[in-house]
Amino acid sequence: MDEKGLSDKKQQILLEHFFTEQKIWYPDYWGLCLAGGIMFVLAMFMFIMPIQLWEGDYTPLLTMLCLELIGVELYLGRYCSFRAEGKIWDVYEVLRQLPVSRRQLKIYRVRKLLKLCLKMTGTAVICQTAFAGVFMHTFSIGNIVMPVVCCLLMPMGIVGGYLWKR
Amino acid sequence: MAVPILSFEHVTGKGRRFHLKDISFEMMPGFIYGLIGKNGAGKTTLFQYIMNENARYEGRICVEGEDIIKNHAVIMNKVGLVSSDNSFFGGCTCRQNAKILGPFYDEFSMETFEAVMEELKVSPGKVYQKMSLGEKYKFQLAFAIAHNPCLYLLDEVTVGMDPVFRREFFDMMRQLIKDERASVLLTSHILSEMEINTDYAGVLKEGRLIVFGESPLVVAGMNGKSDSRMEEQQDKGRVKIK
Repeated sequence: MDEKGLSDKKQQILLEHFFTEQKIWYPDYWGLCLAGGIMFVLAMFMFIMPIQLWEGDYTPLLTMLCLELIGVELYLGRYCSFRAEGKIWDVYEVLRQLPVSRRQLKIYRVRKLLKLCLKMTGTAVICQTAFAGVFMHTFSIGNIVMPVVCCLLMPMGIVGGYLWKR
Repeated sequence: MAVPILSFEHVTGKGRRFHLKDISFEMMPGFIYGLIGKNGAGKTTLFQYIMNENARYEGRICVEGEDIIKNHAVIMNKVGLVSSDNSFFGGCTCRQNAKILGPFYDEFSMETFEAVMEELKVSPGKVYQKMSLGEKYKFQLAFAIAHNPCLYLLDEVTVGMDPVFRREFFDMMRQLIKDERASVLLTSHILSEMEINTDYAGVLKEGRLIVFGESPLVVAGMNGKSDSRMEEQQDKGRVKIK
């Protein structure tokens, strides 16, 4: 265990290796990556638009937020379940007899989500501030708050909670 | 004195569902142990208590003296399971399954896996979901042997085996335990098989271990042949009756 006592480094490395072999055992691997990728790339187009352009109408934001959450969930779905013999199996079904704990699998999934969210948030914050500064010669705290809320806090709260409960 | 490979100390399950009741026994290295019982007696449940990290029970289950609840993941390195409950990737070949899942074990050897598969006459290139039950058990056995456990748990494995292989299988079990580093716990409801092939046996009934002792005596007792002899042997410590 590391200094926090939660994450086991060895098991995390083993899980990383296990999931890099995923292309072999996961028939839907590319399909899910593509579907999830398309959804959150579409959502990201909205999130990188400076908040000043929206002029108080946040209805499209809700749609994009839903699209992003579904995209993230689909993208990370490959760490949760897989299809075989005509059934959907929980990945843990295969791992439960092995020297790896369920808690470590949960930590692994949430770490993957955090990594993805941080990348999205970083991209959105940089793009928002750059576009607002360069094209509109303005800056608002909303250019940082909106990406943090939509790309980090909301997915971590909703998808992260779902991944942890599984 | 040798440390028991597996010990149950007053293990009683929690919850409303069917559970084990006050199970206590010890398994020493170098022996084959059997669990006998009707369907629903608790044989598979007992295995689940060992394998499931979230199993809820009172008492202690130890593998080589270590409480499994405290470090379940590490202790799983010492356990090899062959069971219909064991899940593998159905769409992958045996070799792919071993390559993907084997590295989780500290001592997994791909060479040993291939060698045992060859000995068992099962092609490692066969797709798991297309294998017969007997072949699946052979693959699981090879997978278990390849990570060199000290405890083999075999749940009703002889069911899918032909009589010739069944004999070879028990010879193989004897080979595995001959260096007195490992032991085998298997479940079955075939009494004759238990009498011949195991050293010690226990009888489970409605979640309770009602008899535990030397196999011939336990099986004779099950057949109702020697109740008085059982009582006599209990006095000598060769059989425990609850």
